[in-house]
This record gives sequence, C-alpha cells and structure tokens, in this order.
Amino acid sequence: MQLSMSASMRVLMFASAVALVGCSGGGGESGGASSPPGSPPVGGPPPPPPPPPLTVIDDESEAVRFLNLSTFGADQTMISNLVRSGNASNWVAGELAKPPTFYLPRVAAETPEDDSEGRDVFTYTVWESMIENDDQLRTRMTYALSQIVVANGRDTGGINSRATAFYADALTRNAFGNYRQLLQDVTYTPLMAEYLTYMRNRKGDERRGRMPDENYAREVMQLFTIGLVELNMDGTSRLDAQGNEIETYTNEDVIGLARVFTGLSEKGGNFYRDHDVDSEYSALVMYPDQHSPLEKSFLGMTIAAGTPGDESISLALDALFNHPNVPPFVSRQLIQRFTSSNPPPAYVERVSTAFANGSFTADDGRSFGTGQRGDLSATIAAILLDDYVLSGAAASDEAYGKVREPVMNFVHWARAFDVTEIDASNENLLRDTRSNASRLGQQPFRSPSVFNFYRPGFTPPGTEAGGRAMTVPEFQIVNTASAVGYQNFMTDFVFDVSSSRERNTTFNPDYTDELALADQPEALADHLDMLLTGGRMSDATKADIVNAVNAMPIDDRDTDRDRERRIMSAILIAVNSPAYRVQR
Amino acid sequence: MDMLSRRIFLQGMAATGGLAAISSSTALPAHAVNTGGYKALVGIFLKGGLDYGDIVMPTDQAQYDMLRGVREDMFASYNGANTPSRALGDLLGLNIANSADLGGRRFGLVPEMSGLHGLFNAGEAAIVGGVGPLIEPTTRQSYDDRSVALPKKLFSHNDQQSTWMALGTEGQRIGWGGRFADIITAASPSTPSIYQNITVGSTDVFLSGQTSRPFAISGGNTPTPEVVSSRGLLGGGDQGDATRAAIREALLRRDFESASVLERDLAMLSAQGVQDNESFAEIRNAAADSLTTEFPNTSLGRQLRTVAETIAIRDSLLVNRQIFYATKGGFDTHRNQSNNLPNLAQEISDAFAAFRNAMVEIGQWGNVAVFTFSDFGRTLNGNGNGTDHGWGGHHFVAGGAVQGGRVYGALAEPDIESEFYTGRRGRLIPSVSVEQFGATLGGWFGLNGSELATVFPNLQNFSQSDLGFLGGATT
Repeated sequence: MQLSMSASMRVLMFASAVALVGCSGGGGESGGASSPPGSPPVGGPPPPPPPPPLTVIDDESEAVRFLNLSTFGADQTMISNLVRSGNASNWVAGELAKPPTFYLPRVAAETPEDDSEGRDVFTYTVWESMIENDDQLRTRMTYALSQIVVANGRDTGGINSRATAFYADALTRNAFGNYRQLLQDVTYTPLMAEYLTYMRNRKGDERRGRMPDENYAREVMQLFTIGLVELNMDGTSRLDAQGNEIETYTNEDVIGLARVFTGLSEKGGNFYRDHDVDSEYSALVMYPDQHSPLEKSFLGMTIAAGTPGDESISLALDALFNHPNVPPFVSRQLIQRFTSSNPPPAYVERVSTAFANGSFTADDGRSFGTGQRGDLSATIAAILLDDYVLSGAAASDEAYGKVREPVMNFVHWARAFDVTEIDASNENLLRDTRSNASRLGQQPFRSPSVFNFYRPGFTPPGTEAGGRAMTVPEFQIVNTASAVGYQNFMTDFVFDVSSSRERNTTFNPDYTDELALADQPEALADHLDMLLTGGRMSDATKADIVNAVNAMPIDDRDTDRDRERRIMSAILIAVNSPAYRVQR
Repeated sequence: MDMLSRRIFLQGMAATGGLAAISSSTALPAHAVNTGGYKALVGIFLKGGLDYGDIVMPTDQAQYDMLRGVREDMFASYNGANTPSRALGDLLGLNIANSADLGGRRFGLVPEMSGLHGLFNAGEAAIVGGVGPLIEPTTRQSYDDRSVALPKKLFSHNDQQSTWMALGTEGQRIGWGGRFADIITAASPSTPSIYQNITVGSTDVFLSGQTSRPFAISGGNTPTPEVVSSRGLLGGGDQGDATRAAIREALLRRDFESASVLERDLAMLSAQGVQDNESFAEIRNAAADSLTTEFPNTSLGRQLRTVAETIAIRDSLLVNRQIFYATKGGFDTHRNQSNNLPNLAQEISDAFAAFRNAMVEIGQWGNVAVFTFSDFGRTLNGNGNGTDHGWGGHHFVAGGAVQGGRVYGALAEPDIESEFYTGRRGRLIPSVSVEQFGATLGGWFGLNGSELATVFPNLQNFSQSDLGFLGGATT
C-alpha cells in the first residue's frame, strides 16, 4: 500500500479525531479540521496551519481512486481535470449541476414509430451512455437506483425499449432529487406496473373469489422502502427484549396495501384497451371504477373508504417514505453500489443522517442538499465525500472495499483506453451479457428478478469475507464458471477481436500510450497501475505483467504486431488483477 | 503437469481449499456414513413460488368445485384458444396407492404433465404434499395465537428460498446440500470433493458447505482461458507460448498477498475457477461420450442433460456421491398464470421424463433421486388470473429407489376457511417440514440419524424423521 505523505498524515489525523470523539463520549464525528481557515490567532505563537481539508485531491493517485468510486472509471481527461481543480467536493458539486442525459430521446430517435422493436435499442444505449455520458455521476446514480428499484424491460413480454427508457428516465430525473418523488414517478411507470403486475390490477370481487394482486404492495415495502425488519440508523437490525429482530409488516398489511395499487392502467382508451400510442412511455392513469373503494389499513394507518385512487397512492407512499427504516435501508444499499460492499455501521449512519436531514456538509465546508428528507444529492455527497472514505482510513482497513461489478470492470476498460466508434449495436457480445460462462454474468437493467443481480445481505460461502460475516453482494454472481467467463469476455475486447455484426470497426481501443512503453515492461506496468488503479496494484501483479511482456519476443517479421501482443497481454493481466476488480 | 498428478494436486487443494477462515468444528464420526456404491441427489429449484394448486388438482367434483370457487377468474382464463384445459375430465388422474389415506378424495395432474403423470402411475415418482418451512408442528390456531415458534420472514421470496435451502433467512452461508457433502467428504477424505456438488443453474447457498463448495457448469460449458488455448491471439508456432504460460500463471495466482480481504478472496475464487474448469475439461474430453437419450431443448432439459452427462463420467471424476442443483425461474405467477404456468409445468414434466430415460440408459435410475423445491406455495384464492405468495406446497420426488405412486404428507382440501390454511387467502400451513423432506433424502443418500440431526436441528420436533418416500422406515 503506497500512500502519499499527505494522505498518510491524514490517516493519523483522522484516527486521532476519532479517538478524541471516543474519549469525549460524543456521538457525533467531526472527522477533519474544525476551525475555519483564516481564524484570527489569539495571541502567542501562530498555531500550525490547519491540515488541508480531506476533500483536497493532491495527485493522480488520489484522482484515479476518487473517480473510480464515482464514475464508470477514470479516463485520462477526467484525471487531469481533477488533479488540476484539486477538490473532490467541487467535483461532486459540478456533477450535480450538469444537465441530465435522458434515455428516451435517444432511444426514440433510433426507433421508428412503427418499429416492432426487433432491436434492443435501450440495451445498446445503456452501454454507450455508461461509456460516453458527460454526466457520469448521474448516470452511475441512475444505474445504482436501477439496482434498488428494480425493473427489467427486456424480459417482460418482449423488447420494450421505450418503456424501459421511460422508467430509466424516472430514475435519471430524480437521481439528485428526492426519493419520495422517485417512488411516485416509478410507481406510475408502465414498465414497473408490468414488471410487478399491478398494471390493470382490479379491486377485489369476493363473489368470484378475487382479491387484489399483492405483488407491488409487498415488494414496494420489502425492496423499495422499508425492508422486512426494523432498522437502526446505522443499518443494523433493531432487536426486541428477547434479542429478536422485529418484522415490519404482516400479511394483513400486505392485503390492506394491495387495495391501494388497484385501478392503474395506461392512458387513453379504457382500462383494458385502445390506449394511446405513447402510453407505454407515459405515466399511468387511475381508472376510478377499478380502484378499491374499501378502507385500506396497513402499518397502523388507515385510508378511509372511498378515498380516490391517486390520493390513496400518495398517502400510502408518504407513509412508507416517512417510515424510520427508509434512510438506513436506502442509504446502505447506495453505499454498496458506490464505495463499500460491507460498509461499517458508523458510515451507514452518517449517510442515513444526510438522507433523513436532506443535508450534508463536506470537510471543506461545502454544503449539499435542500434540507428535505430523502434528498439524494445530500445522500450521494455523503457517500462519496465521507471522511472515512476520503481520509485513507478506509484504504488501510483490511475489510474495506467494494468488489466491482463485471459491468463496471468492462466499462472502465472502455473509458480508460478511450475506445472509439462506440456503437454497441455492432457488438454481438454486448447484446446479451448475462451468461456467466461466456459473458459478464450481468446485464444492466436486466436483473433476473426484482431482487437484483445480488442481494445486499449476501455473505459469500467458502470465503474469508464470509467467515468474517461480511456482506459482499457482488460475490453472489461469482462462481467457477463466471471466473473464466469474465476473463474470456475481457480477452475478446482487450485483444480487439470481439465478434461484431458488421466488420470489426467498433470498440477500438486507443493503446498509443501503452505501445510507446512496449519495450519497457516495468514502466508499462507502472503506467497501467496508475491509470487503472491509482497505484494500488500489488507487486505480484506488476511482476506478472513484466514476465508476460518479456516472454513475448519482438520478431523481425512484424514488430508492430508483437508490440501490440505485449501490451494487450499486459492489459489483460491488469483488468484481471484484484486491484482492478476490487475498489479500495 | 500430467492429468493424474494434476488431479491429485487438485484433491489436495480441495482438502485444504484455502479455507483458513472456516473452523474445523464440524468433525463428524466418520465411520457411520454409508458411502458405498454411487448415489446422486438432483434438486430442481422452481424460483418464484410454485402454485401447487394449479399442478396437483382435485379430481372429485366436490373438491374441484371448491377450488374453482376461490379462483373463478383463473378458471375462466383457462380453456381458451391459447390456454390449456382445466376441465375436470382433462386432468390426468393419479392412481394413488395409498388413496385410503386421502379419504376417497381423488387427484390428478394438469394435462401438460404427462411425463410426470406416467412416472407417478408407474410407481417411479411420488408427491410430497404440504411441505414447507416449519420449526415445529403448526396449526391454524397455534399460528394465529402465536403459541408456536415460526420460521422468520414467511412469504418473502429471497428469505424463503434461503430457508428452503439453508434453513434460515437470507445471508446463510451453508445449505443442507453442502452439509451433506461435508459429511460425506469427512467420512471418506480420500474422495475429492471438487466435483461432488455441482450447480447447473444459478449459484445459490444450497450446495455450499463448511468445507465443500459447488462447481458450476453453466449452459453446459466449462470454459477455460481463451488467451491460453487460442493460438490466434499471441501468435502461431511457439512464439506466444511463454507469454501464454505467464498469463496463465497470473490467472492461477490463488494465494494472493494483499492487505485486502476482498482482493484475497477474489484472487482465490478466480484461480479456483480456472483450475477446476481446466481439470474438468481434461477429464471430460478423455471420457467417452456415450449418452444417446434426447432431452427437450428447454432450460431444464439442457440443465438435466448436463447432469446426466456428468453422472455418466462419475468414475473419471472419482466421485461416488454427488448433489446436483438445477434452477428454473418464472414461477412468481401473480398474473397471466394461465398463459405462463402451463409451459413451465410441461418443461418440468418433460425434463423429468427425459432424465429418467437417460438414467435408465446408463443404468443409474436406481441410484438417483430427483426432487423439486421452491420458495413457497401460493394463495389458493386468486387475484384474477394469478396467485400471490403462500407458504406450504406440494413437490415431486422421482427415481428408481422412490416408493412411488404414493402421496406423502397431506393434500389438504381447498377450503380456505379450514384448519389447513392461514389468513384470508388460503395460504397452506405445511403439514410436513422442509427438514423432514431433506432428512428423508439425506437418509437415503447415506447419512445416519445423528448426522441428520446435526444438519436439521428441528427434526427432533417432528414425530417422523423419515417420510418414507425413499424406502426408509417411517419413524
């Protein structure tokens, strides 16, 4: 582990700050410098200058580390810019201010009105967005939210590119907005209604033995808002006097809430048919005749009989949103998607507090958020600019880190090596990346179920992390087949031999910088280490790279090709290295 | 390294397995396990929660009408142009040998399940009725007044999947399939365990033990590193050989030194994948491919074909006990059930039938037990053309050793007000527990009573620790 001098100092300072808080018995943590810069000296010798705020980015190593947490992977331009501007909180503020890149306009532009949607335009657009979008933090937040409020358009009755784009845009629009509005907007997307089967869900009819579909009522509680057991703000379970977890709801609550999500269908025509042409990518509307007129009781609240449908939904979502579980439930999962597979409870509590209060102040004094509960700009700032994460205390914690998703590992490669001709529709391997034996074992916006690719509570069997009872969701999609599947998928792209629809003219990596180092294996290894991991690669991996490069002779017949083989071998080892695949 | 020495090396790896973090507190009496001959368990997990009520249906008029009355809309959705029949006369009647236990009530399978129907009536498949997670025997009354210990987080998909596989809610690290393998391995330490537990579906907790870990065969593939095997990438002739070897060495670096737990684990898992796949591919390529039975080209058909092909090379894999795990999704039929469930039912049934034929072909039908399990049963009462999350359900067990043509457990009347259900929607209270179900399989597999008691801690709460469907004494 190499830390720059200033980072090492900050680890010590952070440790002593925590120790001080511990001594005073206080519950809060201040983490960094507490006196504002420029305070007048109070006589005597001038105090030593305060340490720089933790948000300062000193060098390329710190820039790469921070960008790998907050984007789909650092590229050269971003690295240089962040080193120049030198402050992570400024960077986050800049990302929050960028205009969003929406999916629907791009998808619609490539999909003719009468298209039977034989091409999965949305899937291609997602790959391209992750690689190319300028609003990287928002794009990544959208992807993170798509793994909490999960819907899958591709496997819900055919290809629904525009419907999926409309859902993804609800996430994009609210990515830095408010979680309450996000719940509202997502609930009214046709895609979610199809996916969780409340599209055209009818009020009950006892005569025919029919009750409202319970699916959304159950999953909106279990997965999107409150979870199954009562939580503390630090994400741990609350326990009753006997030491047992306390379940948040019963089947009776589900039955009561199921009445709320009745009567929704697509706009235009009637409840059943003749909907408008754009109804699949427009908000759902309430059909009052099909909405349950009965009293709706759940979680200790009652919506009076006869309350109209839209109002019932608002009241129900308000009740869920204001449940004390929501801040830790959502915050811990968001942390897992950005920085830490197994976040320490104190870190979860700091982020939950930012979510609940709607505000966060970074170590350099910059404030984020509107002060409203559920503010996601405050939440994401709290995740990325947390003192523990920035100080280097995290990096020296043996159990800290995030196993990166295969999707992220692939996209990072594309960004780091500035691939050109980014036309995902031409790449056969990108059409369906779900196979774990031959692809990535994961495809964005195409989870196998509403339970996402992996569960936030997954503790991996047969591993050291599992033995420590650490949660590592991403290991749920790692098995003996995926271990090799990932390697082979990356091999095809790194060596630029990926199968394409037309001739191989897309996803061309730019290896100019690397080719210049093809005859200097140590320098090549150091370059890849800094570019991809910010200098966190192990000596063993760098030695592997040097060995592989030295083993490839530069033949007189085609020296250019031989140098390509050298650097491609080096890059393949790098993107398979633990330092690349685990964020620290 | 030649094949034999590599295999011995791999056996050593499996025994130590880099499992420093896992305690060795599971040392079990080695002498008691019966590991003679070859036996395999094949579990098919039906993800989403199987609606048993639309699989095993009553065929006497009184019960049939009762069922129809609580899911009128669904019956109306059947019998259409694109949906099969659920007319009483079209159900496939079961010749139940112990029909006296059912008090004259009759049952049949849905028409899509002719394969399983044939196996049942031939005495090669059995139905275990009303099985689900329980801590102790439970009634409607004891459920309602909470005078009984209950499984946690009932009705929740992920938690009930975990409870079926590992007897606890999400986050478990050890499943009962994995525990079976641990015990077998401990009893015969010379047996390699790398290919003992194999998933041909998703990677779930069921096959993970304290020492044993599942090998994955995904889509029939056991991939090996392309950069090593392909001549094209690094040049022809011997030009790239040294680089290929160097890359392979990097990919096989499993004892990775790092200050990060996650980096160490990731390196170990990746290297294990390369190692186990290379070895498997070598063994499989050396073995003659003899299986001629045709399998349906469905997800389950392909998965069970992989299982059959793997059983066919069991001697080369040096295993005499194997547990296979297959998965099929799509059972969360909240709606469009009449459009979706019939295809799934047929897929299950056809896969069972083909697998049976393949096992007969290689003479192993008497040595395998195939069973289904699922998140939960579903509400008897419909929500339109769909059903919601329930609790207990009915499952199938098939194999040459199965005492088939019989019903074990209970097939409750579809009267949602009766003592067999909870709440207002007809969620079936299990009459036999997952632990009894698993222990019956485990007893046949070779585990003795005390070993089963360590795997299934609540088994002692039930009067029957063996349900008898595999010929064990029903005690």
